[in-house]
Amino acid sequence: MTWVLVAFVVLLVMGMPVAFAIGISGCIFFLQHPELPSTIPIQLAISQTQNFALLAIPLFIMAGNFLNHSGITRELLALATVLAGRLKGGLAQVSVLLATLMGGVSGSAIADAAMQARMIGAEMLKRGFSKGYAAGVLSYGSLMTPIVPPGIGFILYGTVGQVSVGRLFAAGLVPAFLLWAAMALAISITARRRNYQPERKTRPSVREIASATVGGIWAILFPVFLLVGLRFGIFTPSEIGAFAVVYAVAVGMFAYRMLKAASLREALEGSLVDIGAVMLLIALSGIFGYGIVFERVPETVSAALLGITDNAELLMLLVAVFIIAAGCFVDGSVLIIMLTPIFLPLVQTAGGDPVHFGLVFVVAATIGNFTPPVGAAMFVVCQILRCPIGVYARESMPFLAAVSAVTLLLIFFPEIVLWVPNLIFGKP
Amino acid sequence: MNTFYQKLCAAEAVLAGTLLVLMVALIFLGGVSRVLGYPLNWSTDFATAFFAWACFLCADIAWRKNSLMAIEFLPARLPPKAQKALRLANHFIICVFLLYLMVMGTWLAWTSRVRSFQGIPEISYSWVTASAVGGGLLLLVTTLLKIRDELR
Repeated sequence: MTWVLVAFVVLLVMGMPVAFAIGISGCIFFLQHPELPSTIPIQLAISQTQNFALLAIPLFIMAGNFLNHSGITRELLALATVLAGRLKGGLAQVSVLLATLMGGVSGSAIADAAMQARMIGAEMLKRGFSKGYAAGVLSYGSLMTPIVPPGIGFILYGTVGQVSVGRLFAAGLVPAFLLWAAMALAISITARRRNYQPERKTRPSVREIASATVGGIWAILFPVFLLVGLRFGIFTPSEIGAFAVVYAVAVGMFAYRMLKAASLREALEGSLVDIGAVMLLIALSGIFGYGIVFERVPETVSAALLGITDNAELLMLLVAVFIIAAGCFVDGSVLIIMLTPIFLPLVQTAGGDPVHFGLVFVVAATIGNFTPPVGAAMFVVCQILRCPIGVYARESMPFLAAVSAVTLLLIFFPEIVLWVPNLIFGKP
Repeated sequence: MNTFYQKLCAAEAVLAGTLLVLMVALIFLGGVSRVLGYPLNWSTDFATAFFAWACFLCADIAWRKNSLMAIEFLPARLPPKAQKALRLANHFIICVFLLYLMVMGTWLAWTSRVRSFQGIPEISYSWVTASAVGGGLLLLVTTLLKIRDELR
């Protein structure tokens, strides 16, 4: 397994696409074990695509792309402006609220950060926000998107770790609110010092709020429908994914009337690329995972870490720090696929709750997307705003501090996370 | 040759899109009919079989459009010539891997041809296994074309 890891790191550093790097280094394990049939790697890769639970991922990607083309984003931007425009830090506040609202539509932080950077990035610079600050807001703000249901990270974690996806979705609600509040507070404090003005001067009237809410209602109701469907156990996450696609197309065609033949096609074409990139990664990671289990890596890591402490919360803290650090180099979804089988049994041995740990894991893995040197969301935002990474790293410090503080809170107070899932689904 | 390849790419996208849409329809129908008390045992099998093919076709589309995630932090700091050599080395390793995928995939499809789906016993499971062979071939062509572009 050592050679597998060495090969993986070497291939990554060489700039090989992560999906191929995982598959190829995984094959090295089979070269070392000639007694194993050499068809196993192929079977492993294909069996990943035959996992009915994982079908939820392409379905939610499609639903997100269709909703994005349905005109819902514009409605949500209007709603976010009405609700948050009067706060200090104007457009920055609008951006983080928009990211939270978008969470019910999109399941990926990187997609949201890219979309927002294109949509309001230039506008922020025009209003006098410094580049590093704007990039920090746009990238860290997208942390809420995968935490509000549906999130691709939760589907992956739930499938790999055999944890209820419904409970994980529900567990995201309160933490997403806390993360939004922490970001809003950090923006408020820093905007006062930097003298960034509010976006609107007057308090919004009840009528304005009501009409903006009605405009975005289809996006806000979506996570509610989702949780209701899962709660009553009527549908599996994959079936809900298929409903989400149908819902997105129906809303786009009949409620907002923005989804025409051309935009339907565009959304589908975009989905092909997104699905291809994620699924090749998932399929080929099956090859890598075999060796990890075969050589009992989880047991070895567990034994080593349990030697340090057997307190579930401290273990989670250690794991979270490790994941954020690893996330500086590797994408969050890769970490979830590769590390869930290693860390989840460890945390469970120490008495930790799998839903609680899943939430901490996904938050930490997503934060890794925002940190230099290779955070994917950071990279996209800095590229669009033409912001040097060093400037970004310096000016986004307050946001890193804010989300880290919330993560600590979530680790040491499991009740915050588990309250809603236990309320909706009952105590496990 | 070029127009043929362009047509192939267009067909690939249409096929992948169709498979995905069919997948949505099948899972949707399967869910609804089960709730109504008439579970369809074949809908899941067809959906996952379509998915295997859709995955590999989409992967090829993403690879052609350079949309696969990679860490280009270190290579970007090298001189252009070294970058090119590194890319060629990567592509070469990927070709070897894809050949292995195709050869073993073919062998697997052949040896498992009598295995059939649980819900649709008339259809051989080799249709699913063949997705690795077909997908591997498309990915290999894309990689070889990348090598050709690099050498030009």
